Amino acid sequence: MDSRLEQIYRENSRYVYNVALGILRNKDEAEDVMQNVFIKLFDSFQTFRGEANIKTYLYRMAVNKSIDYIRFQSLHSKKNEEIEMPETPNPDPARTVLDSLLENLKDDLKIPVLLSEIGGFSYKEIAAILKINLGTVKSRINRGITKLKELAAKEVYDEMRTGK
Amino acid sequence: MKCEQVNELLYDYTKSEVDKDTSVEIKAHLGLCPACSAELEKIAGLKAIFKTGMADVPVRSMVKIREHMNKPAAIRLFFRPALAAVAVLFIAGTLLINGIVANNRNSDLDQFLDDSYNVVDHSDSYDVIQASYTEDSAQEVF
Repeated sequence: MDSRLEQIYRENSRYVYNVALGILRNKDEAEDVMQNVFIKLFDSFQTFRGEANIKTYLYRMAVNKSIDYIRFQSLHSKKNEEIEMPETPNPDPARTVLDSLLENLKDDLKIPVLLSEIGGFSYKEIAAILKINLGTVKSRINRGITKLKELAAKEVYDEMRTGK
Repeated sequence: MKCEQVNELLYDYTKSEVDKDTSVEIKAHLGLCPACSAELEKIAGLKAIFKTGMADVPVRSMVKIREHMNKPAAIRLFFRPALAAVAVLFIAGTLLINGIVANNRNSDLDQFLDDSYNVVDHSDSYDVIQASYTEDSAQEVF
């Protein structure tokens, strides 16, 4: 495989994977989305101009494919009635906290926050990725962060109460 | 700047998404306001959760992508669902059209064969030929 493609993969795969994981909260599905996104990018690599273009494309694809996954599940399976998280033998505590916070955040607030915090994008870049205007990005991120602060405070309160 | 305004802009401030003057004002406010500083701490805590909660990409992913990229382009095409769908539709369409044309060709052939076997009533022309033959023969004789 082309060394340039390998470099793109090395630099972005972890972030693309974690954005998909944040939306889907399922490791296998997030891995599937991430692989498909990179395969699609590499297959049509010649048509891209510039690094920014590639990054925007990668994350837009990751978000869209994750949303497609959710839509497909809600249409074709009973998964939406009771989402079963796969059991991990030794769950990472930090990951568990992040999962429980994201679980309670609606997708329209969660996705811009993920792109901001995991992708490290500016509001302008998030607006380009999600094809929404700058004002909407700003308001969704601020609502998302306010909600997450409340949830994190509740999480800490619950931990203190149960003594975990 | 009031606490409410600072709180609204606090996350934007951490992302450097506020202009220079606003940034200076927020910084000055934070130096004097423990409540807003505590809010900034909460945001820092959230950022830390995102950073430490990130999962590692399974190693097998790269192997799968490499395997895909090492396949010949024509085979890779069939791993791209949209293009594969177009290809399947194209092939199906071609077969369908060929089937219709072949069917039409068969119909033409059937028609031709049917026509060949149709019994044509030549009785009138036979009478005319017979009559002229008789006349000609008579002239030749006489």
